[in-house]
Amino acid sequence: MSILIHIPTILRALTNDQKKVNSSGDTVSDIVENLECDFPGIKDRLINNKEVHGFINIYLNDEDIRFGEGLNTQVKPGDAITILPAVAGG
Amino acid sequence: MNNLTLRVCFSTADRAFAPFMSALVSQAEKMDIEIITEDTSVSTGVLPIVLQRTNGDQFTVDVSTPYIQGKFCGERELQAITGLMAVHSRSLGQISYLGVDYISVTAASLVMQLLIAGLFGRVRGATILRCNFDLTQAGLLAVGQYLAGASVDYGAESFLAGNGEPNKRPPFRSNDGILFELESLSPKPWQIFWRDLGVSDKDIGKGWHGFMQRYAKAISPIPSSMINLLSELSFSQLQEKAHLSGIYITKLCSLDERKSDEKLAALLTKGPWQIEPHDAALLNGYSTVTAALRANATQPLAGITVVESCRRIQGPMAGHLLTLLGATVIRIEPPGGDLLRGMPPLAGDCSARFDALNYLKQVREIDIKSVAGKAEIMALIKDADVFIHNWAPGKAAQLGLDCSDMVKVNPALIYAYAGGWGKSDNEIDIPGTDFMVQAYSGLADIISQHGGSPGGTLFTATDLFGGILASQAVVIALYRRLTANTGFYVESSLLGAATLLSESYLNSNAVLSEHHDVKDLVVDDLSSLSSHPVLELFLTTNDYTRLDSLWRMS
Repeated sequence: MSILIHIPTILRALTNDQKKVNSSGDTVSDIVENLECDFPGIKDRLINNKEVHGFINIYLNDEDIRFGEGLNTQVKPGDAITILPAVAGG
Repeated sequence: MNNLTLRVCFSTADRAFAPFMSALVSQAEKMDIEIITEDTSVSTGVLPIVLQRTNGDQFTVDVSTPYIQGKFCGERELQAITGLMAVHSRSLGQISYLGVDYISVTAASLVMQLLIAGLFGRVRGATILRCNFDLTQAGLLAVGQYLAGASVDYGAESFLAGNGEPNKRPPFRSNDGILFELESLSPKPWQIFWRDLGVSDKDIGKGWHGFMQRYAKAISPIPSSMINLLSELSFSQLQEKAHLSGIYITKLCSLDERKSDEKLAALLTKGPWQIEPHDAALLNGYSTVTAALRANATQPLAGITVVESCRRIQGPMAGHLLTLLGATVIRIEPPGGDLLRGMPPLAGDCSARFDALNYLKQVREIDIKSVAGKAEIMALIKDADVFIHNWAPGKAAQLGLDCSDMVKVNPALIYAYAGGWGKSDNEIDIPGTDFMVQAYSGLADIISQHGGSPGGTLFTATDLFGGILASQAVVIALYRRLTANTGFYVESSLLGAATLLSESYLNSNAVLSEHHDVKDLVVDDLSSLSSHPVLELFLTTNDYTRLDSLWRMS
């Protein structure tokens, strides 16, 4: 099944400049693995120690998966994933 | 620095300069510089400030302030026109003065480093005898990152100053009436803490993203339901829950409580810097020689190499200031680049906010935890003049990149640590982040009394000033190294920055800026700064708007 993924500008060098890509999988984790096959190097930018990287937010529809089931969050056809760099400073 | 004399011609009629002068004199005293002030009866709007060596060599900074609506701009006018008031007021219900003389105090630190850097350049053969500094430059430096975010072509940030909801931002209040700050360095402890209080994951996520906006946007929109829950528990109950979850809370110290801090006296007399020569035994006959300036060099730190391993604001700001004085700064970033390069909004392919502090630096991607990476850093250090980091306490030793490790390969090195709590690093067991430091230091208490906010400011006041003090400390050490025949360990901290901002209140001799109504002058749309008749001279726009230089020759 196809899930639409919105890619932030900062990662587009890895996706041949595509703003939106399609992938498939039952969980966010599956999708990240499949993205890595299509766009090598992207997984390292998203995941650190088996969790979403501290400076990256992954939203399933409008909810940050970090505060749900994390990478094990289930996805279904028609869902949209948005990857956004976190806003941070200090 | 007891071979230096600071000469200032100051007219008491120059009321606009009073807080700046007070801060400048206080800093000179801390640096053991002799001060000679001459009172003049004429107010010209320009203060010539001269730093003189005993051999007669000297450097002058002509400090100016704009003249608007028939008078010279003092602190409040400067906060109004540079957008600082607007940034501070984003989370407030009205447009308000910041509560401390932020621009005057940071300007004193900037002018002091221009003077010392100028003399440093003179000793190295520069022919330049004076430069200009306008107090608005300190304000524009302070709002630099917010200005970058507001002035990009796509996705520019826009906030209505004075239209916030102060009850939806920190500090929080417990049911026994204690005001406190809360900090979580990662989302996990935040989630554990709020789940324990019964908050839904959806709200926890919403709250986290709101809370994270403090650092970059000076706002903190958190669901009211979460804030209300905090007010149902006592402070000790909250402390226990914080401890169990891994978040941190600290109460807002009153000024009187801060006055009883036994380490305060040293900070107030010796200043927020610690500058110590390396152990002579380590030098092993090594001789420090600072290279002379190239004949055509116009900036005083030209030819000086700085290696920076810094994240976020404080450390990068220090490196940025050193580049503005002419130093070559090599910035170490993790493989793939600093993730904050992606923080929106972007200017081209880089975060505008990030770029504003780093655009003049060279970048080397190095994995500092790997053996090869450490060797690469040591190779850079061997030929560098300065190394600066703002790692968490203890990390330098853990990495094998502490001062003692680096001095072995370069005894002339100036090793600078831009930290959170400074000398109190080992005693204060809460993270030394901007808002925790404001709460702990009494600065938040001052701002809540004078700045129209319920606690500290959400403008990152101590991060930015901490960075300015860190570069000042490096400049002092570079100057001292000319004759000391050794390198130095240099330390500065956010707590030192907060203390200097609070100084006049801590000493009960506040030279309060005059209370004018500056409503007419307030710039609340930062993107309009670049066309402001007084400010456009100091700004340049290229993808986004930024302060164009610090070193302005006469």
